[in-house]
Amino acid sequence: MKRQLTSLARKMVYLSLFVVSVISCDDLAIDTQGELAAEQFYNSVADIQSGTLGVYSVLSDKLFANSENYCHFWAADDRTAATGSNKTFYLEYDQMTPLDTNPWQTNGWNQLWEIIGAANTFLDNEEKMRGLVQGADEELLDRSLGEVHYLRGLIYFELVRTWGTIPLITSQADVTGQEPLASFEDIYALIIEDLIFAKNNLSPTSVNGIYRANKWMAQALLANVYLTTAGFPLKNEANYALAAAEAKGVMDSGIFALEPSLNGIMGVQANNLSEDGNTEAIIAFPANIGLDGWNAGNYQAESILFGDKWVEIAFYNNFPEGTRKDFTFDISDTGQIFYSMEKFGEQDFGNVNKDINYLRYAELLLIYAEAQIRATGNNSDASALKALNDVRERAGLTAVASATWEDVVWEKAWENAGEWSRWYDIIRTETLDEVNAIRDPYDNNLTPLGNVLTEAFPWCPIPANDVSANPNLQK
Amino acid sequence: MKNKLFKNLIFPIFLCLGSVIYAQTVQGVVTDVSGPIPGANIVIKGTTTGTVTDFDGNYEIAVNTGDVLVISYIGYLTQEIKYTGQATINVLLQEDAALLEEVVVVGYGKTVKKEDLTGAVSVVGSKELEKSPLINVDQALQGRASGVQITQNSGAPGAGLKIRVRGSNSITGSNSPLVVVDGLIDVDINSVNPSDIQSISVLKDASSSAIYGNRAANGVIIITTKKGADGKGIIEFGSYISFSNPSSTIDLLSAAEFIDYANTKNISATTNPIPVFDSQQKINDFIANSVDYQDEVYRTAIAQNYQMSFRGGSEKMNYYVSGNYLDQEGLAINTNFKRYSLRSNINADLTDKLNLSTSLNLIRQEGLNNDPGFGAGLALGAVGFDKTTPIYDVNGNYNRQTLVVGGVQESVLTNPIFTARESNGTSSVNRVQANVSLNYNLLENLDFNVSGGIDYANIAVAYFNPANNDAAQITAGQNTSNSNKTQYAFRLNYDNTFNEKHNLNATAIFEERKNLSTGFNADGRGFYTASTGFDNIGLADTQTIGSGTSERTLRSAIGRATYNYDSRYLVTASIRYDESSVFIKDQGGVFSAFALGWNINNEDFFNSETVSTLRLRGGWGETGNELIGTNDALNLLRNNPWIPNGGATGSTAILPGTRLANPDLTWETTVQTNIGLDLGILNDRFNLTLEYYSKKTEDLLLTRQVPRFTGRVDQVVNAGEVENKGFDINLSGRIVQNENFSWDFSANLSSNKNKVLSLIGDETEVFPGLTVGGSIPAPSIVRVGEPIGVFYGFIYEGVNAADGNAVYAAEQDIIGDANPDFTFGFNNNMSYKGFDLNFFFQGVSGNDVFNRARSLVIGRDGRIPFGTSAELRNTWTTSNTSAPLPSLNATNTQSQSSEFIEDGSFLRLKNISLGYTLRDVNTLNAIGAESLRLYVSAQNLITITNYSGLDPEVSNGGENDRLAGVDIGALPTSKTFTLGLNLKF
Repeated sequence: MKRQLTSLARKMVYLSLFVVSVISCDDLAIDTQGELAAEQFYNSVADIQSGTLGVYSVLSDKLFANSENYCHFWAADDRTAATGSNKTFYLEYDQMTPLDTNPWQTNGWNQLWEIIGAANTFLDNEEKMRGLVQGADEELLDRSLGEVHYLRGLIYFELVRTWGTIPLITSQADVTGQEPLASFEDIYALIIEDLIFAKNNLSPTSVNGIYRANKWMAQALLANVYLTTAGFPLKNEANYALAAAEAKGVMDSGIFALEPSLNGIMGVQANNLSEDGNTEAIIAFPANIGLDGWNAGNYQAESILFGDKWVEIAFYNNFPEGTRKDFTFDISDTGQIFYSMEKFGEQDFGNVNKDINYLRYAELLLIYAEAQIRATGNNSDASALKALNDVRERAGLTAVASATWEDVVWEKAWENAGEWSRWYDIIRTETLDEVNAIRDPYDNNLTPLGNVLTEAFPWCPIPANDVSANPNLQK
Repeated sequence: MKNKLFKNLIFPIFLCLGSVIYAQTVQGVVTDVSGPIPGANIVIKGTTTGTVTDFDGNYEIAVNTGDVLVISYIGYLTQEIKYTGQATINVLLQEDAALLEEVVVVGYGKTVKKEDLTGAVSVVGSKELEKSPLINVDQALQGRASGVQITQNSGAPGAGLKIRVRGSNSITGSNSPLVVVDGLIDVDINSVNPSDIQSISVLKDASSSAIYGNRAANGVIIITTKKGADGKGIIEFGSYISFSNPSSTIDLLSAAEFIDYANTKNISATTNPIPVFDSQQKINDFIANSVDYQDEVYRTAIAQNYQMSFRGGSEKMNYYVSGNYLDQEGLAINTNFKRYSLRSNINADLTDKLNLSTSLNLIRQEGLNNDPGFGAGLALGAVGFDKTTPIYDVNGNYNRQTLVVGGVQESVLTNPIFTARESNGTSSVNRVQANVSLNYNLLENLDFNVSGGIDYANIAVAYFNPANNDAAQITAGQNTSNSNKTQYAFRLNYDNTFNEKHNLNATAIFEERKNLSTGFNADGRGFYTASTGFDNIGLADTQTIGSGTSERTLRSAIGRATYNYDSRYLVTASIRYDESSVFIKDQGGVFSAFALGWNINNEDFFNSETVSTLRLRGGWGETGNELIGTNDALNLLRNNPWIPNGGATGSTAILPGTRLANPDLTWETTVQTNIGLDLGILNDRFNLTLEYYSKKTEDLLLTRQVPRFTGRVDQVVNAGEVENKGFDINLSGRIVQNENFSWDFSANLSSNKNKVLSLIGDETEVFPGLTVGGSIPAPSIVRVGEPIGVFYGFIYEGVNAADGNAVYAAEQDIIGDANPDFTFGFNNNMSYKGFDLNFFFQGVSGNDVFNRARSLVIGRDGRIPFGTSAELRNTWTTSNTSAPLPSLNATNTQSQSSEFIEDGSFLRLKNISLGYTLRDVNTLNAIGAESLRLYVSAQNLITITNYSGLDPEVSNGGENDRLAGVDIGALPTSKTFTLGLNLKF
């Protein structure tokens, strides 16, 4: 009996040993094979570099390349679209009656926030990255942080000017989707903080790619931000002086100059930053030949030919005659006013090879002129008039001896016709009613104006998808 | 006379073998409760000497005193009787209880006597399965197990069926049950050759299934394959050939009618006739060359199946080895499915205490153009591609696109004959399933068991898509994936009876399972030649490659105890702790269950002549679901290459992925209560089982859209609740039973009501804009208060007689429900002498189908400009203002409307078969066989339905329950005639 028991005991011990040797009680490993897990990234200098490029990638590839992503520009007086079913999403804005379900505009919103998410994710890992760089790599990290702050500032600037108050996400760590709307003050404070950081940390020339952020891009953008915050809705009028100072800083750098001829500003491949160069492009996004034409070409000739981006008649009629008017517009046999191929490029569907110019030196000069006039209250400020007259003279117009800030804003409308600034200038200067009042009866008849977008509330509706998931976004 | 001849034939054999001289002979009759058993084996133990009984069950054998006769017959318990000089030994064989469904397999090595069962378990035995030729295992369950709804979504060859046990619990996750084959957990149900199956148990309620914890919420299907038995070796051969045709076709316009209709429509839209139909001469030519594409696409499809099996054994060891070959042509031309399989089940007693059992299953499946989506394209082409466009043009080249091009929109359909013949989509699956189990008897009542298993599959898919127009490019690619599932378990089992009345069984298990999948794909677009097919992707202008891997681990500790007192009071309890690697912080889940039963008929006070069984059961339990992607909870990054130099160089650009991380993600839990009643009368000649259940699934693993300002697109969360309530009824019995004639039947009826109780937060509705087959919108939505799988859209009110426009109600609303009110089956087996007749009806009622295919063929869904359906004869015109279809010029018609919602109820004669078992010994001896069964059968011979499409059962939504009952055109079920034979040696 005793023998039997020991034999059993021995068996039990062997079995237990066997079982215990196989069983483990650690937490089960989570599957990250073949995936880039965020926790395991931002661990090397190469990660810093590709993480920085990640923030650019949505911006340049998709966002500004396709006019469908910024339907709100159609609310301005420099654009209208052909009427027809596939243009309704532009026409909603053209007629001041946007819907919160507008799928194109929603796309734009979605992509802008992807960039914010990418930037925040990078910035969330600053400490971790700081721990692994030294020497020259420290400069790389500082510069990269500068680029990412610049990009976050740029995108928030787009968001706040387009949709008004929005959630302010500065870290992806605990995003829930239930964040409230932030105030204009807080949003602009972050933008200014980001751009000042960028200005201080970026190098004067782009590194590792000519389209990447440099000090002047950040400073020029900062000038525009100050100008904007001095107007509606924040109206921090003290910022006009700051805007003028920042613009002056860029002008004094001597890096940029107006192209002698309008033919040198954009529209052909030779004017790309990556080609013969362009003394006027401050912020430009690269052409991307690899992109499918439909997605990439809409900003340029394609959108014109498809009837996406036509010109309102009053805008054309009020446009000062001269070489710039001839350069900017084409008129078809049927009298339809098009933006010209000289300015926006020949059609190259499927082979997009021209830069997208976001901020030209001409605009910076006009930012300076307006800010300086407003800051000094002097319509004859010499440096402001010089900046304004440089632009006018290249356009084939005569120099003026005095100018109001309104004159400068209109000058910007002509100079930047069909580009990036007109709608935001109308909001900032509270001139929507004035602009709508002079709209041509032909356009009013074809696309009558509603009143969802008004001078007092010119903000696009936040997409329904987001509002329904987060009622805090209701305005 | 027969006996004598029989003896005369057998005896010389014995004499040849005869090294032993027998002194005596013994004779007798082998019977079972219903009569003599012909073909039973009688062997003298320890020798190869033996005989078989004749047609009347008689035998005679020479013996020595002291010999032991071993009497065996398949399906019966083997008996041993010692010869002590008796002149006659008559033997009454008892049916093997396991086959009689008296014993129910409940998992983890345990079987329970039916009378001791406390949970809701449906059992389908091999006898049921043998009655109709089965391609796949899931077909075997259709209509035969209550509470189990099986839907054949596609008539594509080799296509699997959708299986739902007591409704759908999950909205975005999988609702497929867990399948366990001989202890190997989580295998593809169709990797088992149906002919190898001994029995199938479906664990429906939580008290039974909770022991499987993970995924058991969707029910557990336990398949037990055949084993060898002690006795003479048996060789069986079975084969059948079948001929299939589509169960129905769509009535289309004639070529002349189509031309007339298309011209009328085109003239009203553009004022011109269609160019190819603008003269009578052209029209006549087109009519003369018109093609019936339904006739061209479909064919009489032939399937052949061959099965050979060997089984037998000795006291210490038994074996079952089988091989199977299936070659099934698809209904559509150039589609095919083949399966080769080999199974070996071997059990051996290594010592008195140590038992080894092994099971090996090798299977290869080959498919040609048998993807259900591809089949759906052909089915749609067969009815939607106009019959006036001939297959070939005058030069003998394919007319790839329709010639009927007018000013309306273009057709998206390609000539189905071109697609069917020129596409080459192949798939092959090589699978190895093996498991081994060692059982060691530690103490008299205590066993220790260690088992391990592997299920390895290599899946290779290759496709070649020809250019379907001049502008299109050829695409081709190859895609290989490997799935490697491994598992091991330790089990300690204690089983004892105290004082003859206390029966206790307790089991403790530790188990770990790991699934590792890897995939690799290479795709090409733009080949200058079609001649290299998918065999040289390097020739493509654009080449892409990809690879991926995923791994999931599940670790579990399990305890189970059952106790009964005198088979009167029954208790079952189980608890399972699962850890899953797909969750981050909260990996563990505890799933417990208990059940009680009371065998009232075993009580002393119970005294009834008629009622032989009366049992009440009740159970409660929790089960889980963790079937999300292996990294759905994680914060992942993605690469979106950016070119900082304007095209000069590319650079890796890493940014966050589209899914928002959720480290708090954890188990989805289903809580189920079940109440059951079993009633048997007249010595269990008739049996009735009633079950009522109520299930609630909480913390659903839902994919929700997140606000995009988070920078992400979606997130997997635990939210929402779904409820399923219903009942299952089973009635079976022997209507007639006498010496020559017997008639058994079984009937089942199930009803399940599914309801979404809540969604994420205060949301009342999700998932608008679901699409099927690529981009066809389905009107399916998920809404609180409604079942999963309802249709939402316009309410069609008819045609405005004044202008021919459609009339719709002002508001859109719920317009249909794809869930049936009832599913039912009715199975009958009759036998008269050597003949047996089986007929089996199956059906569903009260479900709706969205017939989007009808919208296409009446030219309304925008994919083809000119409809083809014969229904168009009755279109509104100024001279036919009471027609049911709106005018061709109607501008307001909607596809997502109740006009296309139809009643999908059907009753189907799923199987009818007539067999004859040859028992004439002379003939059998002449062919050297022990028994021979010949049968003819027909599947889906009759379908009674009001559904106007090809088949009310098909659906393009596949496994997605939100898209149930959406018919955008799918291959129909086939009507099949089969001839077969089974031989036993």
